Amino acid sequence: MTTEVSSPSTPGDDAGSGLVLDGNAAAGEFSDVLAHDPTTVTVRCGTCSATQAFAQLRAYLGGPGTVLRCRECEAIVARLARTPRGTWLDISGSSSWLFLPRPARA
Amino acid sequence: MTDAEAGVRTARSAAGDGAAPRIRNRWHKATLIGLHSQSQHARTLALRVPGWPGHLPGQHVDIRLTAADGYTAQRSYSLAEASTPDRVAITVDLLPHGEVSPYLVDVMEIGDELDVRGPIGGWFVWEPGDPAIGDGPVLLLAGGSGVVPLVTMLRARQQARDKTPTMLVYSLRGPRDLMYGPELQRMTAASARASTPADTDIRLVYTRRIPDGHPRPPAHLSADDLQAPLSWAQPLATRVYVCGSSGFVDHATALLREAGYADHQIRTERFGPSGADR
Repeated sequence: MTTEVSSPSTPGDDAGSGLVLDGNAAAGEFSDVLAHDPTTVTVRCGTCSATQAFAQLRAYLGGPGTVLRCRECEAIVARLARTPRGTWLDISGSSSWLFLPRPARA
Repeated sequence: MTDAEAGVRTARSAAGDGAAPRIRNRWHKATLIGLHSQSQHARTLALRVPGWPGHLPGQHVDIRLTAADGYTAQRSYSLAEASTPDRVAITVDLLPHGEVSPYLVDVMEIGDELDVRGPIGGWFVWEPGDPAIGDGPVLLLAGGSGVVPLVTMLRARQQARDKTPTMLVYSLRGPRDLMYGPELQRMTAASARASTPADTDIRLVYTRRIPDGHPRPPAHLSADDLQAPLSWAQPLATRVYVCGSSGFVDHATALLREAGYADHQIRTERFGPSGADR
C-alpha cells in the first residue's frame, strides 16, 4: 500500500513526516479539546473562504503538533500542539466552524 | 438512540470513577484477548476494553504504545467489528519499516496491554438506514488495508439485514495481499444465492499480479472498475466511501469526479505510516 503513496509537496514550515493525511487522522487529538466530534464540523478557510468538512482538511501529523490545511488553497486553518505548559489550539487561519446537530434517527 | 450513538457524544466514566467528571474521549486500558490472521502480513487484534462506549461502522481508534522508558508511539486504526460491549477489534497491516505495526502484527501476545482512545469520527461512517443515503446504492472503494472500515460497514449492513444495493471495489497489489478473502467470498456467494438481484457486488482490482483464472488483467483502478453493476437502477451511487493511502484516494477521487460524482457524495479517509510520536 505504502508504495502507492505519492510524495506531495509539503510546505516547508510543517516540520512533519511529509505524509499528508486528512482530518480523520487528526480527529483523536482534536477530540481532546472539542465537545463535539471534530470530523463532521464544517470549517471555513480564513484565506480563500472555501468550506469543507474537518475530515477533508489536509492533515500533517508526526511533527511537534498537528497542522490542518485548507484542501483548496493549502493555507493553514488550524494547529494543535501539546507542550509541557499545556495544549495550544490556534484556529486563526479559519473564519468559522459550523457544528451541526446529529441527524435524528428513527 | 443506540448505545453506540450515545458513545459518540460522550464516553462514559468508567465504573468506579465515582464523582469524577465525565471525560469525553479518554484513553482506555485494553488487553489483547484474540488474534486472527487476515493475510500473509495482516492480522486482527481483539481487545477487551472495560467501559467501551460502543461505536459506529467506519469509526476508528487511536492506539498508544508505551515503552519501558516512557517513550510513546501513537497510531490510528479503523475499527474492524460492529459494536460489541467491552470489546474493540482492529485489523493491522504490517508496514515493513514501521514502528508500531511490526509490534502489533508480529510481537504482541494474548494478555499484553496497550491504550485505546475513541471511538473517533462520525463523518466517515455508514449506518444502515442513514436517511441521507436513502435506498442507495452505496459504492465502497478500498485501496489495500483501506478495506478494513469498509468491511466493517458491510458486516454491519449484513447484521442489520439492510438491503441497500452495495458494491465493494477493492484495489490490491496481488493475491498475497488479499485481506478478509474467505469472508468476501462468502458475502459474494450469499448474494448470488439470494432470490432477489445481487445486493452486494465485490470487485477485486489487482494492480500487479492476478490469481490464476482472474478475468481482469493487472492494472490500476480505472473508470471501468467503477461502472455500476447491472443490478443497479441508476448509473451512480448515492454515496461513495473511499479509504486508502493518500495516493489512492487522490486517484479514486479524480476518477469519481470524471464519472460525474459531486464532491458532497464522496467521503474519503486517508491513512499512512504517519503518526504522533513523542
